[in-house]
Amino acid sequence: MSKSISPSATVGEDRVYPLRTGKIRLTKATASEINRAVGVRPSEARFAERLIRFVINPDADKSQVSASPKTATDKSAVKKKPSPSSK
Amino acid sequence: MSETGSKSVFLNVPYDSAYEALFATLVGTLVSLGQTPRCVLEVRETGQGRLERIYELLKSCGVSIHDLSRAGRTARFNMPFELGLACSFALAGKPHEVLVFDTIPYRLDRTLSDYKGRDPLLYHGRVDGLVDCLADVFQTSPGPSPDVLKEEARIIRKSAREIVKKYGGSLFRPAAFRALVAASTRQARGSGLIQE
Repeated sequence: MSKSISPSATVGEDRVYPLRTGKIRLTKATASEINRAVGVRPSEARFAERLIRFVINPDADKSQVSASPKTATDKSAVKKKPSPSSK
Repeated sequence: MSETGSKSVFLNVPYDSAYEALFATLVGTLVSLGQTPRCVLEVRETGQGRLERIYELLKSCGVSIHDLSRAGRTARFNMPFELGLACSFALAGKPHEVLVFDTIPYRLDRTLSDYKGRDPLLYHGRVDGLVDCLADVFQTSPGPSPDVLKEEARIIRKSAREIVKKYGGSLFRPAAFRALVAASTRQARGSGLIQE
């Protein structure tokens, strides 16, 4: 639970009046409920999974993140090996 | 203490690039608190019945957040209009809580004197200030500490920057918004803040 607040509480130097009713008690939704309500598609969910993995671990292959779910499987998204002649 | 019973929060915020980090913070923090962020990005820009769809979306949310920090800098009247709609629910006795955010103390007394007597939540234009305001107002059981919420929001802001790159340079597109929500639920679930 976050800290309680009174009408005379402050943020910085300013007083905060949260609401006439004070704190709002929330009922938690599940991840599935949230995604369903907003209309998250499976491809967006897969993208989010790779994205968060990358954000948590930036050493992961970035091409897996920046490419869209569709293009991630495209041949163009695959890193080309340098040809011997280019050395 | 009030309880709306709803698990959705309507976001009435400025859709400009300077607001993207704050928007990502709002979405990430709300999802960390187990709330579904809803906004007009989900409603088609054109076509008949847009107003009705916005009204229905707002009505389906137990809480609405109205960030009036851009007061006086916009020629669009959508934001104060949506605040008026939300206030009408609350004044009609519907289970709807209206939260007004701003960055400058007492400004609202001049720009929206009809709202006098209900001071806005001041976040001083800071992302962490925004999280503090949300943590002050909302109570969940069990609830994460403000420090945990700030760390979650930091990760979501980083994700948002990647989403902006992928989705045409703006977070304020329907697909980018869905991707942001998906990333937020993924992160909150991974941190054990919400259930699958």
